[in-house]
Amino acid sequence: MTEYADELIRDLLRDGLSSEEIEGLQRHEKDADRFAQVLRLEQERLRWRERILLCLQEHLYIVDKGDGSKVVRCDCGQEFGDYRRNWKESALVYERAGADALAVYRGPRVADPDWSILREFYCPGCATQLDVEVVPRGYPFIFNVEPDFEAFEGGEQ
Amino acid sequence: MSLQERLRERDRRVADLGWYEERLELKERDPIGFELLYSKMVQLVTSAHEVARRVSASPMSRELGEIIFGLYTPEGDAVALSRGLLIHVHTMSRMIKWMIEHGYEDDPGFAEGDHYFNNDPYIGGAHCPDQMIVTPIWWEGELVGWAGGLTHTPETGGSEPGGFIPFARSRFDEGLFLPCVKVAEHDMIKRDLEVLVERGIRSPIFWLTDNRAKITGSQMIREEVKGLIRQFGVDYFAKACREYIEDTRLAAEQRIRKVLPPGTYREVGWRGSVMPGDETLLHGPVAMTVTREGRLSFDYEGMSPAGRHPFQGTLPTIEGLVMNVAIQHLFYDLKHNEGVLLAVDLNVPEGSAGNPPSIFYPTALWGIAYGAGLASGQAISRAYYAKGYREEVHATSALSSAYTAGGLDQYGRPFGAHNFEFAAAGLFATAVMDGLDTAGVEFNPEGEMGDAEIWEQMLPPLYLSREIHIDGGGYGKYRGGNGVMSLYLVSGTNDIEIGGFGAAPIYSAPGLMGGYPASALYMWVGSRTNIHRLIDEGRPIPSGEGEDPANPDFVRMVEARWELIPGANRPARPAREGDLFTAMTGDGGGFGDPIERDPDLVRRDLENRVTTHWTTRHVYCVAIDPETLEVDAEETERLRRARRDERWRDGVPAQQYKARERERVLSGDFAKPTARMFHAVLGSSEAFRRAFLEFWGLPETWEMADPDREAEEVA
Amino acid sequence: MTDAPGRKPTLCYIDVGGTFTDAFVVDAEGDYVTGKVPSTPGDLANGFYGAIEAACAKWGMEVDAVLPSLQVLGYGSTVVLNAILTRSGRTPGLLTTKGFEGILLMERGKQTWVDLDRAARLHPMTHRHNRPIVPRSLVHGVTGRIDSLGREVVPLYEDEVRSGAEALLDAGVDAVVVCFLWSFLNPLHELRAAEIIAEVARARGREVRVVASVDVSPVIRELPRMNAAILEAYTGDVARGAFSDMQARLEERGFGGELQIMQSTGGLAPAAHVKAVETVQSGPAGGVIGGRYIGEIYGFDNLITTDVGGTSFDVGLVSGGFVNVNREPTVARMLLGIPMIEILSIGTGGGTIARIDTLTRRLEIGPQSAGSEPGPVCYGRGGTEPTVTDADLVLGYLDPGYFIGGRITLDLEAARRAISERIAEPLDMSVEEAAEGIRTIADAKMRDAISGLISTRGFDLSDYYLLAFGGAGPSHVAGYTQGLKLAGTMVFPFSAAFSAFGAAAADYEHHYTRAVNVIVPPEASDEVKVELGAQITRVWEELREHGMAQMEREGFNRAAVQFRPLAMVRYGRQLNDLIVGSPVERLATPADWDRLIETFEQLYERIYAIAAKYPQGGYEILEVGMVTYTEKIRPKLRAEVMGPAEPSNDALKAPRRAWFGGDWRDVRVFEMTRLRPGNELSGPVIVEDATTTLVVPPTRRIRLDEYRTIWMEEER
Repeated sequence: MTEYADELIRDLLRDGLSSEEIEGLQRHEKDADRFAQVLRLEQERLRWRERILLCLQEHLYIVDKGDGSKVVRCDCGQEFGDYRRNWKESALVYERAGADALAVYRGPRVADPDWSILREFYCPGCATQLDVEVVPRGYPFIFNVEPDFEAFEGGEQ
Repeated sequence: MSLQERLRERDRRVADLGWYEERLELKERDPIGFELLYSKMVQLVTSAHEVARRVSASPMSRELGEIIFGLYTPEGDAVALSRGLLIHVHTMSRMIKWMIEHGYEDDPGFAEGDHYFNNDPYIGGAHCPDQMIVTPIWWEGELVGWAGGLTHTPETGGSEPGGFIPFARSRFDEGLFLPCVKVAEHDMIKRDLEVLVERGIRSPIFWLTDNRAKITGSQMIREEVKGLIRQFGVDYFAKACREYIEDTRLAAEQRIRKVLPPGTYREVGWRGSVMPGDETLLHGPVAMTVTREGRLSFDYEGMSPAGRHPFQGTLPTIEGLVMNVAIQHLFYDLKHNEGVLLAVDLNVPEGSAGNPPSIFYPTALWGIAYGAGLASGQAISRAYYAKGYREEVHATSALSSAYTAGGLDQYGRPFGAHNFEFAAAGLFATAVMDGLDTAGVEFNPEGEMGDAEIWEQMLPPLYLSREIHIDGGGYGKYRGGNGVMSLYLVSGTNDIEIGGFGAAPIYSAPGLMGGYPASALYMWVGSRTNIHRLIDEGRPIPSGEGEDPANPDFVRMVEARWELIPGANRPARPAREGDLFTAMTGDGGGFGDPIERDPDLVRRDLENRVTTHWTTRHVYCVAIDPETLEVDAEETERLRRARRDERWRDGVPAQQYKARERERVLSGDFAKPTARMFHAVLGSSEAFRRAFLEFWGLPETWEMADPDREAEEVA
Repeated sequence: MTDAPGRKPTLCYIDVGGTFTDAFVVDAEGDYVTGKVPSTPGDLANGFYGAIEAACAKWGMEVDAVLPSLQVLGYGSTVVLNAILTRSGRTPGLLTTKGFEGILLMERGKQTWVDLDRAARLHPMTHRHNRPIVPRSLVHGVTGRIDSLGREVVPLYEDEVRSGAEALLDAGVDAVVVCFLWSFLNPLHELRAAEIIAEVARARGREVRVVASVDVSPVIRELPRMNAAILEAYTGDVARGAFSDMQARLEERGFGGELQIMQSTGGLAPAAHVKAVETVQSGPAGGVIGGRYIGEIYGFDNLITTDVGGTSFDVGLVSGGFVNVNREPTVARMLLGIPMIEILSIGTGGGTIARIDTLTRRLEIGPQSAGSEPGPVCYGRGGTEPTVTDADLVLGYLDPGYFIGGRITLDLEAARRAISERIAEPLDMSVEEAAEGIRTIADAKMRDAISGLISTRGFDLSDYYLLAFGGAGPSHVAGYTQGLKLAGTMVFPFSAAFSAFGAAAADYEHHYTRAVNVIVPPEASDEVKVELGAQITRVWEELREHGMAQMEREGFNRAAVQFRPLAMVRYGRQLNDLIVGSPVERLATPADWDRLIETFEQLYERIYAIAAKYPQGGYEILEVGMVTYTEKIRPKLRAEVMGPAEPSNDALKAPRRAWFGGDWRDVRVFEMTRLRPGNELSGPVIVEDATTTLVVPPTRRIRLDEYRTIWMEEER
């Protein structure tokens, strides 16, 4: 039995909750089975044959291809390869500095490109902006999340 | 057994056996009484917090609650803490342990009624303004615990006013340090030490009344604790104190297992040193690991080495920051004490800017320690997201800045201080809501900016405006909170210097999962203005930045010698009546792709005048009627479609991009601040060096040239 | 209190609560009767008359016979508070200092968390901004600056006042609030702006109400001052409407005097002259004033008043004989620059709803309340969610046929059903266990409120006597005092109407304050003392005259008016001052001055620590005040001879089955009004009268003293 109604969590995933409902979620002891519930609801929503193993971040999931491989996939269907490799290596990259930065940040709000620039990552499939890194030029892509699936099976999940 | 022996025994126990107290007997035998005693402890440290605030003359303590009290075991482990400056969750522990380790028990001794003071950040605290006082609690000839309080004082007698010294080259520029000094005996303050302060800093009143506040609160705690011991018995009390810590340790590990999935989560925080001629970007990476057993660890391998600038923190600082982040986002409902620390592992490389090699390295602005601490919060958010708890996912909150001033105030009294309204900056956007405007900072969850009238009582400059920093928060599906943007008029004195502290000219608060970072920090100073003529002629005078930060109202409306300081670090310089300057508290990072933002949220922001039509169209791609504020859904759809096409057009496949950038790396084509960072970090962290070479496919033999050496050769 | 021919009711006080309306009527001799009826939110006057009727019936008198003879008719009103809580006031426009137009959206940061519990405060994800009462579109900035010494640095740009006023009138507001920085120190700009707004309105043939912040809350800190002015504008019409309507209806039925409203500071003032925002806490104030009065009678300096009403649990403090005044209260998460009697209120009362939280499936009590409409399930007025009162009934503590003297017949079966279906079954426990659980949680919440309030002041519970009152107070006092080491616990025969009793004991009172700028250097010379003393004395004189004039307008003769001069004193540059009641009427000599400072230092030492004193910093007085008051007849408690410990048989009623210690037991029941001084009883026992029920569990015992006050003690 899930602690929260599916409708409630579905609305959470769909940005459909009121500020009060959100506060309710935030102020209560965390529900133990959220992980499974969210995976189930996302699976229902996306109707993928492959099993979703993890919601990696906005739009990105790690799915089990069934052939033993676990890959990162965008909800538009675009795939980014094995989850142990940074998905950013398969994305579109756009470096925003100088004049381009001024198209977003005006006047002194833009950072000095000698110090840091913006590195935007888009999904090649749907052109959604998946990440914006704040880094100096020449900095390696940041590999944000590497789940330890072995520990998952062993752990409480 | 001496305290020193007890402390060593305690350390051995924790190191070898992993637990703090073997069995929770009291909790099992008497659950009601066990909880009752703890709630009484929390009540009495909270009372001390409330009462002490009213004794202080410092707005930090009185208005903003920048003050915290705690109750400690004889070995100095925190048992219960009040609200307030949570970043100091273990600062006083460090101080007590330091005194014990350094033989204070024998000389000068811990007598009933003694009060020890410390503001040495290498012992405990983040910087000179963090000032703490602890007093021993005795019961029938035995030291049964410690009571202590900490405040953040607005002035320390440094080379510049206000305690935050952005250009301190060494500890000796930061002000008056009193490392573990006895300031009171028999609960009476030592007059000679007060004279030291009265003649040693610009605004002694704050320091001296803060001390009174801390001593009052500590005394309260001490006496109430004796009452509790009378009621529960000293053995019960002592055992309970230890069990509360173990209880928290266990609860924290359980919480970690429950809400954070096993794995490794990486983020990078940035700050910079703006020392003229040595501008250097500072690197604050964090790798957070969660094990299947529920062990949580933060590894700061790769952090920039320490340097001759104040944008670094002591080990206690970074520990405090991480604990503070963990409490606000993971352990907010637990018993807050040493047990929180015992549940988390930290690795901060020695010699790094988070763990400097000697006490002479200045730490006035925490700098990269703060950056790395905030990055740790992002790592927690990524883990929360993966586990499905979207309501706890947040981008980073602001890196705050403020102005400092010193001289003679409008009452003709000497003064020096900084305006601390920066405790109400823009909060992070979350995965489910916009960030709150002007609502908080990471180091104190109870954000509060104080009333303008209180600041104008303390500092001569007058507010010409105190507004929400329009569009300061990082753009996103949910936007970061906007901070405060204030415009000041120097008034009531001509004997005054104005400075500012902030960050390097970098984006201050990163966004998350497609959200943009917050605006960079900046400060405007206008001297020799014609404002008084404008006033005399009854012409309009500016009330802030207006809607176009590239061409702010005050610059358009007032003739002056205008100076823009990117990063908002400015050495204090003399100012005159009629001079204008700005200060901003910083904004929060955004969450998610901006073109997924609900147009209704954009409209609400327009109604509240916290965003502009420029941003609405150029960033959010929302078509909205400037008059009726009605959203044109079709046109909006078209704009957003077009934005995606641009991305397809401009976005470069990652591998192509890497090939291109590899050339830049090979040719060492970096600006000085960046080059200095890479050179320093590649030289100090083998792990980072390996990762760097691998990412760019560089040979083992590859070396990066020292940018400054190069420069010398050219010259 | 049997009827005496020629009895002359002189004073009547009506306390309108969320659930019940109480009347407390006192005659010329100081004898009193009380009445209680359910409140009638739709039409306040009905409950008003109903309560008077219920009370005077005990004297065999009719309302129309009582009203004409009344000299004083006091009214504890929730009109203003409700208007704020339900956001049903009239939205004003706001003119503020240019550059501060965003202040209500910024909320000083603090208003995003101010009312949260510890865990939520430390968990910033839960913080929220409030919807501002004045939307940003109705806020206009005006150029002009006064500085911290009250000097004009930028003159008022009057054309901006005009355009702002025009814009607000175009937007259709019928009230405008003006709040500028430092107006409390130099009101010139605010008052001038107010004039201009009025002119603009007149020119359009419109009437607008203009509220200047300095007239509502002349104290430092712009946001609390602005909030106070805004709430005054927001609720003013509502309050005046309700009060004058009430006055008219009373006059119709022969009342000749002027309706008096209880103010948040605990004094009565004529309805026509009272400020709406000063009545936010009208009702609860009475209970604390009553506590102080009881303290005078018994000679106790430290008391805790606990009032369990239908919708809330209110805790008040009397310390060292003084009622604690909170000068920075928060109301509905707004910081308010209006002094109020310090009362901690939590949403736990008889009508508070118990439900299983849909998220966690945990049993939670409140804060939602069933109020009086529909009220608890057992009222049979359509309430469907079980409340604390339903639990009390199910456990046998209440007599279904004797609630409010039988005015309401309680439906036991409905209550059982509701608790069974909504609480017991989901939690898989018996109805009794569920009902007991509801009581336990409610009692614990109240207990925490008490110990919290005391300890955050640095006080010691064992110095305090606790007074339990309010309709549901006596039935829960045993629970919420359990484990608290108090000096004593007192319950009153007129418990249900205690707040009304307290208010009836209040004086006519007005508080005035004025900002000054008196800075006293350390070791000040006699000359300085005399000069500064004269400065303060001058302001005192002005305030005294001001207050005297007010009292005269209200129809008191000069001779009857008394004064309490106040000075808010602090050490040099401290931010927190103490309200010092001046030991002298004027500061003429250095000696007078020293006595004032001495009083301050004694007070300071009592509250803080010796080490906290800082005479080296000198002293500052930035605010002085004057309390003007006139005494009036008060209800008397008459001492009677102590009788035997054993109650007389006529006090004994039929035993009742009630749930104690996890089992049903036959419990003795006594009629409270028939118990006599000296009587003693051991729990378990139930003592009831028409309006309240005292529940004494097996662990407690009670005894009546010579005033028939019931003392509850631990069973030896």
